[in-house]
Amino acid sequence: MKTVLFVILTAAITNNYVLVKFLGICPFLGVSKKLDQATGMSIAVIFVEVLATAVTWPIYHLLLAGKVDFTYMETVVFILVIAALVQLVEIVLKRYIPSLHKALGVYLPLITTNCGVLGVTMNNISDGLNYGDSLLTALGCGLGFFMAMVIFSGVRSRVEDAEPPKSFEGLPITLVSASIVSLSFFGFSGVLDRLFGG
Amino acid sequence: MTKLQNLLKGLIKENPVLVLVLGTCPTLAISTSVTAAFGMGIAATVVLILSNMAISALRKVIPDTVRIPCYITVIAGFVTIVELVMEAYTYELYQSLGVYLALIVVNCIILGRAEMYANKHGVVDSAIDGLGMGLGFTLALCAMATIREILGAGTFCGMPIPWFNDNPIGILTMAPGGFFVFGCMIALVNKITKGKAITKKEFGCAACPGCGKVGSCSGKEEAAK
Amino acid sequence: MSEKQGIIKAVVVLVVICLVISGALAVVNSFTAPVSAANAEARETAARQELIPEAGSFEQVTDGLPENVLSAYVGKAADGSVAGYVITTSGKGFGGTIQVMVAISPEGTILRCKTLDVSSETKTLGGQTANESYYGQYEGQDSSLSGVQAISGATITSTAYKGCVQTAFAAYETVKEAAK
Repeated sequence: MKTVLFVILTAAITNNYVLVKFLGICPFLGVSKKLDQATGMSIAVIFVEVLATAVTWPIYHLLLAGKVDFTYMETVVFILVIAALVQLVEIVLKRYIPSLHKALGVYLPLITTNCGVLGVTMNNISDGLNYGDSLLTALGCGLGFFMAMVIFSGVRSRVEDAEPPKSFEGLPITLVSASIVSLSFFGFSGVLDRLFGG
Repeated sequence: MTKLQNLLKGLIKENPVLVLVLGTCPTLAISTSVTAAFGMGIAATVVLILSNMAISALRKVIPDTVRIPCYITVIAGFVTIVELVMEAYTYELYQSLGVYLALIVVNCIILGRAEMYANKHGVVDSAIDGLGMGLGFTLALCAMATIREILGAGTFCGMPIPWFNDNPIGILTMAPGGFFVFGCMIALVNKITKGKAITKKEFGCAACPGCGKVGSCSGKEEAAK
Repeated sequence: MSEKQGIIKAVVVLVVICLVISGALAVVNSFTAPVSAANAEARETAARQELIPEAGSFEQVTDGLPENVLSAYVGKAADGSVAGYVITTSGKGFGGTIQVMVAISPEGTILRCKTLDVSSETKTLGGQTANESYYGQYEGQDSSLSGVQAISGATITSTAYKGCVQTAFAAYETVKEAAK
């Protein structure tokens, strides 16, 4: 239990994909304006990240790194698998759970090119994690994305009311506030180390 | 538009990073050292030129319905080739770029140019567009890396710089510094061009052509309304 | 009918592109793979040489190594006597896997330690294990590692690092036997 929690928390907080590792910045800046959009996007990301890891890990270890070495095909295969997976999820949702499709449908196509998803799957391989840890890490990364999005959408709604210097209006002030939110995540690293290090 | 204008527009007027705000992930992650930033810029430029040419050459063959998977495959192929070559001949650079090298695949700039430019123009024009955009990306990346490396680590390309080396502002090399410097740079471009360069202050779904799904995305948004 | 043809064309084009790309990658890979492998080999040899400068040649030991040992070498001096053993181990750190290379003398004390990979750790905390001030303190230690201080705020990385060195000592006995 302790290790499960540790894997999820490090992935979600100290190695937060958006605020520490800079993966998936586009949706972070693009869709964080309203809370409901931020939530919808994040749930779609969590879902796809876990699913993509569940599929790509066996593909890599059974097919690509099998007897004949095809590991150089990693990037091509992974991105195609993710693209196909996203498409498939969309079709399945549309057919069977239309209400969920209505809520998440807009965000699904955007996820194909979300570097967070490709980043998670590839990092899991290069870190040499086993299947269980990979899935947990993917879940943790997704949760971390969710957390960053929700926190940031709150911060942003305040920033909207502020009056920054003219040249800082719009994107620049958003980035500067992202910088401060990112700073807050640094504090967690010591907390986790104390919790699990002893 | 002459060929020279086509090349130069990527450098300043339509700078992919500072004006079009594409490819933010590598810009923030790699700009801690000038050497890595330069390597990243060159790698992305090579991929951009090659994929633009290939997609432009194939634009009449690829059916509209499967164009995105086709583009992604072509881009991923070129990225892997660059990756393999770099691993063999410039291993240190390859290591310092880490996973971000492979992530050029999902870099908005490349898919964005394929979708916005290469599938409508000829091979030569597309190559020039790729070169211009790639150089613009490299330029912005290096400018940002210079600020972050000199102020944050007190070095330039790994060489220590007097005074700065004794008084580094460490936070600039870390994640928060990345966001901060990037924000300030865009503000600076805003200031210099008096707000003319930034055509879209709002950074929304439709404003990110790199998602490669502009058509389907905005279409769905309207449908959802 | 035309719709069906469109689908078929789409599938064919996509498959052909995939095949062409795969072929191109295979060709490029066949050129670069030997170069990459040779470079990796050269880097490892250089790292081993750096740890035990006295050794003239290295012999690899592959049998009966414990888990998490990536490679083990016996360094031989010019006169054929054993100059030391170089063992590369890995362990689970804070954000991923870390790699350490340890050189142990025939008497069972650490000659030198080298941090190979701590890129998964927080740069300002666990990443400090790559600094001389940390790995330098392993020099001269025996298998009890009693004089090693953890980095404050990075207990997990420090423990993982120590674990790597302990793994190296576990492999040391096997390697020593094999060298005889």
